[in-house]
Amino acid sequence: MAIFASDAGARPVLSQTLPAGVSATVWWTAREIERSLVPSGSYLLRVAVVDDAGGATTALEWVLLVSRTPADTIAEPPPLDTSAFLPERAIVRMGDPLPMLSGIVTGVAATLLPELLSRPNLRLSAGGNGWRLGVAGVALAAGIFGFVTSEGPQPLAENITTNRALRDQDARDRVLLRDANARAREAAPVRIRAEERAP
Amino acid sequence: MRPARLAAMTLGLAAGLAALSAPARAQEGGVGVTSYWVQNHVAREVPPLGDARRDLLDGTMLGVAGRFSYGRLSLVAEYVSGTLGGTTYAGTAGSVKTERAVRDTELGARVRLFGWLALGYEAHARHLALSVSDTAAGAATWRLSGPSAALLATLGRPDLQAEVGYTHFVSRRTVGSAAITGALRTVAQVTWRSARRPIQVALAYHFERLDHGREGEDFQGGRVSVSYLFGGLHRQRGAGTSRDSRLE
Repeated sequence: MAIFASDAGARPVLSQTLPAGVSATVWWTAREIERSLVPSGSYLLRVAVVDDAGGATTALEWVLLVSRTPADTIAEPPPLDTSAFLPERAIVRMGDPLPMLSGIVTGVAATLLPELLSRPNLRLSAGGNGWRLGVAGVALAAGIFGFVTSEGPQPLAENITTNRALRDQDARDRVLLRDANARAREAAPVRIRAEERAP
Repeated sequence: MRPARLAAMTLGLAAGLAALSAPARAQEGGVGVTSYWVQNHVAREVPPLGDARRDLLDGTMLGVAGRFSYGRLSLVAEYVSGTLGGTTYAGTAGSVKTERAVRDTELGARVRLFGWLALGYEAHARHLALSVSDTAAGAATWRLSGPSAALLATLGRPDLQAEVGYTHFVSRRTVGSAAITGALRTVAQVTWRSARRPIQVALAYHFERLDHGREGEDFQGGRVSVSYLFGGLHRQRGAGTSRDSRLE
């Protein structure tokens, strides 16, 4: 005896062989072999007689119409929105001296490099360009401005801990919800109606 | 192999590797205008007095510039032209009015190896048409190229950057003038880029030294460039200053 999904060519969801002359009751719990409930649909119940030589003769064929009642499950909520979390970093003033140092280096380079690298006989005339001091002044001012207003990210440990707890709680809630839904689906009634297969 | 060719090949290889490793989103281009207030000092020999005459010419050059960055690799092209003029003492001839019509074309490629260091190669062509007291006195073309290095620093804010660069021109060819026996350039620059608009302003001091044997000259002055940017970086940086992103 075997039950197939949809037709006889499919893999059997139940298969059992009994010796001749024995009366027995075979139970099918609408599950695949040692697995979960079968989906709704039509299944084929076939009872065949097999002789000693291995030849099989079909004795009975029924169509089993399996319909599962929808389980009362709870939809999984969407992932947590970013607005649910506290900010983990804040932009704060860092007071980094590097910007000022960089401004000084740039200013000194604008002023001294032409002096150092110019030809000795042009050094006097090379010193008269006001742009050199102008660029050096702007570089220095930009460095000071960067030093005063420089910003950088600073981690907020308390908020990070709170957000981590929120994520963990959400993960636990989702596991519980999935388990409850799985149990509800298992407990949902299954209706099986048998019809003789048309020849 | 000539040093210039070897340096160019090495930098080309490094640029290619850097470009391959760069994320595709870090692309950016820019076009803009450049103004160069430049002074040109020339030291000339006057036999038998030796190094006895100095010319001082100045003027403004205007031009356009374009730039394209792909990850760590950036390419620069620039063209400026203008006329430098001045009155110089010419011995028995007295004072003469000297003018130099100058056209500069520059091409450069550089690779940002670290956040603070970029190496590259620059090619520079300069065409000069000289006139003395309104009389044409010949034209010359210089073609220079060589490796460059630049120190980069962010001045505490993403919109402010400083740069100090040095280029040593190892390849020096001239047409119509004395040979150039040595050439270098230094640049000290501060760049500001708007966080809200695709605009970048750069203020720089350029200094170039060119030796013609025992004679020599320099070009130096302030350079202001205003560029319009297009591509991804400006948008990323612009978004970085919005109120939402201040708290991540």
